[in-house]
Amino acid sequence: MKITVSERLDWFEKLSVILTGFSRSELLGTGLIEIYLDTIDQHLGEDHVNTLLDSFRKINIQDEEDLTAEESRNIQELVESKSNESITKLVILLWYTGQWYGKNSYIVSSQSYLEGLVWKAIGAHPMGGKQPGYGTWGFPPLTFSS
Amino acid sequence: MSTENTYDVVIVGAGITGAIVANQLAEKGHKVLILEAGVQKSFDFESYRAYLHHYYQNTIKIPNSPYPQNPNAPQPLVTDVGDIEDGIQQFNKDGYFRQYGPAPFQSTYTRAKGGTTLHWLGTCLRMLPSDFKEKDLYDSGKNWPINYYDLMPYYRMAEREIGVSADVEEQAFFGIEFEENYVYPMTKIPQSHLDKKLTEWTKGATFDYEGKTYPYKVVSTPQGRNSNPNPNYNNGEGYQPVGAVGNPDLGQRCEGNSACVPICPVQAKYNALKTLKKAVDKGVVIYSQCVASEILYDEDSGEITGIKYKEYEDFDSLTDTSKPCNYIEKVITAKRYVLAAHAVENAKLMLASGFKNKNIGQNLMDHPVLLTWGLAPEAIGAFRGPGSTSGIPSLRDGTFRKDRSAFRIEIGNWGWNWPAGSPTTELQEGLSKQLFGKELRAFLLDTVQKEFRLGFLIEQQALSNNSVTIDDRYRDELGNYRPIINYNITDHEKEGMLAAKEFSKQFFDALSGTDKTQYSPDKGGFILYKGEELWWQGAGHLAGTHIMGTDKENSVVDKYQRCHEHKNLFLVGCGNMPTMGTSNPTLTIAALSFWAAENISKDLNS
Amino acid sequence: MLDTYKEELFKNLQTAIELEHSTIPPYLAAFFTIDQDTNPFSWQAVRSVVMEEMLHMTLACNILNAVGGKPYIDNPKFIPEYPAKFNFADRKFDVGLIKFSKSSIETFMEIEKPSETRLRVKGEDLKGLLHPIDLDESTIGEFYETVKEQFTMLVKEYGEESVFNGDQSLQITSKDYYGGGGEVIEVHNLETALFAIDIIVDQGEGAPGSIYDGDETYFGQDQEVAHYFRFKEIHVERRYQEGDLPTEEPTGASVPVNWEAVKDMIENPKANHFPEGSPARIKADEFNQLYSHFLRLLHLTFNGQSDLIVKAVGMMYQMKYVAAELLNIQIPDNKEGKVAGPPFEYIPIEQRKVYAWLLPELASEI
Repeated sequence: MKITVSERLDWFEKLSVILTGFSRSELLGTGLIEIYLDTIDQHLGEDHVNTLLDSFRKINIQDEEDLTAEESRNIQELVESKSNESITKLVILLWYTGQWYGKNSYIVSSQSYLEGLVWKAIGAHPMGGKQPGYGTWGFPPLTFSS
Repeated sequence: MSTENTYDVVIVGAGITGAIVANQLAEKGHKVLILEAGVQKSFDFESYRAYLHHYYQNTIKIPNSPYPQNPNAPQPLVTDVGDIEDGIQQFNKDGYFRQYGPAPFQSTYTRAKGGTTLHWLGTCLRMLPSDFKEKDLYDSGKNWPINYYDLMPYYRMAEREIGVSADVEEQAFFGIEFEENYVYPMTKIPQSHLDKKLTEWTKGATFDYEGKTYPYKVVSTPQGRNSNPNPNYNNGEGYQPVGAVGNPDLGQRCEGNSACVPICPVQAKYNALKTLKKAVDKGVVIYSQCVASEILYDEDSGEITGIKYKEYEDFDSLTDTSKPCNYIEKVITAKRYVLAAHAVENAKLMLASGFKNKNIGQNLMDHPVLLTWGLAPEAIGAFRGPGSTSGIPSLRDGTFRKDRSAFRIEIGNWGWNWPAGSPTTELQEGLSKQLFGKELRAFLLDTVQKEFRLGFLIEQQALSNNSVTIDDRYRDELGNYRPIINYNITDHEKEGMLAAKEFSKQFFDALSGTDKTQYSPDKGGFILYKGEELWWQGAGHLAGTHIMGTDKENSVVDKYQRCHEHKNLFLVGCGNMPTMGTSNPTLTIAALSFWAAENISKDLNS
Repeated sequence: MLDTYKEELFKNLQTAIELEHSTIPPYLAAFFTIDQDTNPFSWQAVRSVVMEEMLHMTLACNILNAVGGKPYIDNPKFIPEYPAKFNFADRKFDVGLIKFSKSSIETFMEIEKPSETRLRVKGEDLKGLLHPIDLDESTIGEFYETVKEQFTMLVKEYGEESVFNGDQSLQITSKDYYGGGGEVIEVHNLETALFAIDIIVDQGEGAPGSIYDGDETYFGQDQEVAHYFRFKEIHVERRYQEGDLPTEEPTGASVPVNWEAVKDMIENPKANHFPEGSPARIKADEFNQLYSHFLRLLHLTFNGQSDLIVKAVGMMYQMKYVAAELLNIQIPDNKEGKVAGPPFEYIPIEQRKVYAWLLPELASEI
């Protein structure tokens, strides 16, 4: 089947929301979504990526930020399947660290390092960037009320 | 070979000690030249930003990661120390150091303008009065030819130059005294939430060891990073924090970038570029890309007659790190000479020049750091703020120093980043558990938010066998010597580590935390001692390679920081320290540099 | 009688606070769109102006507190709706939330333009001329000149102690301001009040007849050209140098500006321009929440809880990061490919959310 560029991006975005646990607004806010799809394409080949995106499309998720029990099961299956396990991990690592973990690991850009989701996930800021301001470390950690 | 002779003083090395000596001498009207091995770099802030981007984009975030490896002036890397295979410590044979062990020397330094202060943590503890007379008091280590009181006025100068933030009331322990009404330039850096909780959780509890008890007193650490200026400083004159070189609006306060080591993005943490810039504005000249290779001297009188150096071609160290450059050899002469190139480089240079003093290169010291880590009973918000804002001084001094090393306990604010590579390690762990999405996030948050670590900086004694030497077979790309390192730690230090490990266990119990310390036996720095697993890393406090003392038999320099055998040569830096005590050494060597500059100026004027 | 005059003074000083604040969102919005590494000079220049506007706002609060007034900051009317109309005696123009561009810099120059005729008035030269200020009738410089006259007159009539009868503990001290030129002055008498006003005016327009802002003379800091001239340097891509006159073009080093390497922000972004639930809307709402919380913290800071300034500044940093996220988000169906941006809109207290980053004291207030 033929997939348009914007469809690919759309599926990658939705899949990324599910894999990372971060909302669309957080992912778009990094400004890196297209760059990351390119990065993955470049290392794994578009066909390989399309296979993953196509299996994802077939699950037919209604709201990627709020999965139904059945959708969750299907996603779990997809993520743990032999053919997809390593690629989904690479996608998560890329989003979380800004680094491509391959034969030759590298950090995509300064921006990708600074936008690594792992820092938000641990309730901190990237080491060496997005500083929280003088004295803020003396306050209790940010409590998450969601 | 061309010779130039228009300077009163030539200094080798543009790190903190060279910068202070240069700035002080220029202040007194002397003409000063600095030879710097590192690449040409402007004082523009953009030039510093390039280091920051290099750090961001480096997959290995070690202390030297922002500062590119330069084949013309190579620097040691912590990654040059390998694992232990079949009980033998392995080393990267292509690393800058040629290490013979048996123990790994795990500390590094930076060969660039600004020196290792580019990546120091910024801890500015004074040494204890007892550290200066350890031999007399405890029959351990050595005595200094000067005492704490001799150094007091120079500590003040160093605290001003670096811009130290601390509250005097908290720092007067173990006999440390301050002049009446003295305050630090800036008020103490706010302690982390972790520090405050540890204080609360361990209140009233004690560490019990060998029949003695020690309090778990968490004390804020004096730091060379900008805080609120103290209006009472200098008898009410106040203090103006110094921001970034090339962009003074930035860095006027520590903003909590959590990257002091390896690079403060805004230069709220002091680095020697700040002093260097002042020196250059006073007329000091810096020759970058000039690697000193030999000190020339008169065999009979010992008098230094010049310094030979290799000036290499311009290249872009950020993009082209592989190839060595063409160079030309030159000689520079002056009335007085100062080696401020770093403990290891100073020793190497003197050995390369055929100096006869047997103490040169011996007594290599560091603070081996025993690391322990665990989880707090509740989220404390790891990875926020400076690397460390407090410590526990209880075991920095005591009669036990006869038998085992003293240590200072540093509380680490960045989770298990140092001992365990957090938070990437936890991320990989989550992935290996097949976690993804919101579950992965929750797993990371839950684990990392409670993380903290302790570092025990173990005092190491000066021993002749721990040494820097040279060997004709091992040279760098410019033909200069690579340092040969022989290094070990003794039972005295291992006993200190045992006490530290026990402290850690009792401490985690006292705060109802979870000790997660686990050492892997194949990692460099692992030892088994009296059935206890121990693991230590380097603190980056390389010292002792040209110690000060009373005569040429026991030392290289006298109390004036002048070489016993070469009266127009002064040495500065950690190499002069006969004992380490338990203080991070930068403040002390900065103070000694002020003292040295005063002596050099007097000598020039006499 | 003093009370009546004081009411007048309070009103003028509150106007001053609002005036100083009103330039901050436009400057910040432009600042956020600059790439630090591509345009380091412009980044630093605009940043330094923003920092000094914050200083001015703080100084105005210190003056108001010194005379026993009360700064009102967390208030729906405190934030102008952008584009805001700036009506000065000699010029009227709109100030909006616009990306960094030649045209936004031109607007900023309009705001900071020196009033060439401004006189430095000495206390004894003053004639009793207490009258209400309407900014529509004067330049910023003239406005402040009138406030100075009011102060001098009142002190002459009623004595320093009855004029400066505010609670000294409400003063923000110099330890809490950093990152820009100048210093916070604690105001407790006529001299310090007039000095504080001079800092405000000189940093903006330049010391009389000079391109420099007086920071070097007043505080021993590095020499710095005043806001108007800093913007001018960006506009003509050339620095001033020693000896240049305020009436002439700069003749110093060239500082090329890359006007293309700028986030292409939509003009005057508003949260409700973006569809409900869209990423741009979510982040715009988040920004507005942060901004409103920030104003709340400032309000408390200037009304007795000065320690909260540390948290207010922390909130500023968070605003910067959310603004950066907004500037990464393409506006759906925007034909020119514009990105979203920070709206700086007021959210009433009862609609404020307890966000993840929200600090405990504040959370308990809502």
